[in-house]
Parts: sequence; C-alpha cells; structure tokens
Amino acid sequence: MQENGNSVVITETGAIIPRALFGREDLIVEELRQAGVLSPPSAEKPVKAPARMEMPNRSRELKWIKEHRKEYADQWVALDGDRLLGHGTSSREVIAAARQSGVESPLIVHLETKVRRVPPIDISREKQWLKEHRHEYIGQWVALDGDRLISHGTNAREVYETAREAGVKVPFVAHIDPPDQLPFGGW
Amino acid sequence: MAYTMTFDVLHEYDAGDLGITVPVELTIGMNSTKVDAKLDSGAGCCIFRRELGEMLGLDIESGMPQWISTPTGSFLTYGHDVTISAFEFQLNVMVYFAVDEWFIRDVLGRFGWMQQLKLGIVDYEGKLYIGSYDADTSVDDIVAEIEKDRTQS
Repeated sequence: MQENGNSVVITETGAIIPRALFGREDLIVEELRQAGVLSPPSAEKPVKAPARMEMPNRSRELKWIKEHRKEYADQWVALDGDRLLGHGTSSREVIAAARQSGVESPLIVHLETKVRRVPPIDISREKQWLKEHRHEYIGQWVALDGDRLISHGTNAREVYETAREAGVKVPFVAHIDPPDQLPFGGW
Repeated sequence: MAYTMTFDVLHEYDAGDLGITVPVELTIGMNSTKVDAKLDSGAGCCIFRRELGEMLGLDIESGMPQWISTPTGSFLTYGHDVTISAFEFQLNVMVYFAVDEWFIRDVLGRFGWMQQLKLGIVDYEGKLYIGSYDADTSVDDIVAEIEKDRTQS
C-alpha cells in the first residue's frame, strides 16, 4: 500500500484510493487510466444525448393526416405540426430526414390505406407452459414453440437465434420476471 | 342516448393479470417473434424493451430518438419501423425501443397502433372487442376528442 502525495497508487495487488481523493472522480479516473485499469479517453467527441423533448400535443399532425392521407397513402410521413419533414415508402429514409431536420419530437407514422387481416395468434400453449415452469427460469429469457422449450438464457438474442437455428420460424419469447412485481401504473 | 359500435374480433384475457395482456407478433425484415404485450391507452406510442429490438436485428440507436415522459420521470427511446400483428390485424408501426435495459414493459399505445383500430373493453369480464377503423372518415372525431381532453386538462 502506497500513497504518493495526492495520487492514486496501483500495485500488483490492487488500487489504493487515499481518503483525500474521495469525491475527486476526475483525478481517480485519470490515475486509473494511467495505470491501464481504464481505457484511455476516446479521441472522438462524446456522443451527445438527444434533447429532452417529450411528445407534444398532436392535433395539428392529425389534422394534416386527414387532409393528406390519400396523397401519401401507404407511405411513411414525418411531421412537425402541419409541416411535412419527409415522406416515402422507406421508413429508414423518413427517419433520416426527420433527424436531419433537427426537429426534436416529430410524429412519424405509416399512412395505412387498409388494415391487413392476418390469422389470429394463438399462444395458449405457451402461456400454459409459462404458468407451470416460470419459477424454474426466473431472470432468464425463454423461447418456446407451443409447449416445447427450445432455448433459454440471459441473452435474448442468443436465445432467439438458437430457437431459429432449431427450425422454429416464429418463436414465442418471454423474459421471466420475478413473481413479486408491483401493479403496473401505466402512463 | 345510446351508441352502437360493431367489432370484428373478441379477445378474452385474464382479468386478474397485471394489465390487459395481448399476444402480438413483431416482424422486422425476415425476423419475427411472438410476445405478450400490454394494452396501454396512456402510452402515446408503442414502446418495447430494447432486447426485443436487438433480438430482431436492430441497431437501436440508429432510430428516431424520442423522450417518453412518465409520472416519475423521462426515459429515452429510439423509433423503428416494425410490423405488428395482433388479434387479426397487421400494421406498420413506429415502435419505440427503450435505451435502458431497466425498462421491462412492452406496451401497445396510441399513435400508429391504437388509432388504426376500434377497441371496446369490458374489463370485469376480461373481454376486449377489436375492429378495424376507417381513418378516412373519422379523424375529425379524434381531433375533437384531443381538443376536448386539452380543454378539460
């Protein structure tokens, strides 16, 4: 254990942080970086978090949609009030246009001409399996095909990919949360 | 005055469960999965946990950033184009995936999904009636409802 003035000392057995440095995060981090414990700071500019702009009232956007629905049928549109920021059949391009515009909270919607009808989704056997087995997999993701467990683990993507590799085209996946949840408050 | 509406589908759910649970299929490109989601008329949009987006191959942060407010604070999400099949209806929806992994809810909200459908709930009996919605004729009603809500609040 060593203290060297006002700095952190790293030895083979670990790092010693003198009491004098408590609360001086910048100095501690710098010393840890110099000792190779932490990675050096990136030369790139830190990623700026998007501005904290929450969803505003959307009455003007809805009015615009009513007036232009047929003109932009089956397209994605990005709106800021009654101003069209971008449109097209590619959502990726419309998102890019919305981001490029600098508007912090645009409404991006697909203007459906007709809601498509598909066969109903039946997950009754999966739900029954969850009732009987959930206690065995708390904190894990499970992938099921009917009442058959295909894969499980803590990494959702790995669990999903294992199920797909096993030949299940559309697996049911769920994260098994602990049973002592509080009631959901909604929004 | 009595009002009459017609619906296409009846979905029966467990009224004792936490929230109204709905089986949905999410599709992004060639990847699809079935999950349980909660119906949430208090949510402005559809919001899902980030693991589901990543599972289906998304780079979450490449989407449209959007902060979502709740009674206890705000959290950051990114929007992506997802095909949602629920009940017997399929829609292309801008789904927002939460950045933080502590967000563990999957909810079907209003813009993009609920506003494309008609819903009727008899919660005591665990019955949810669903119908498709003709947006070309009734957006006025939605606007009037939002204006009314705003005036009242």
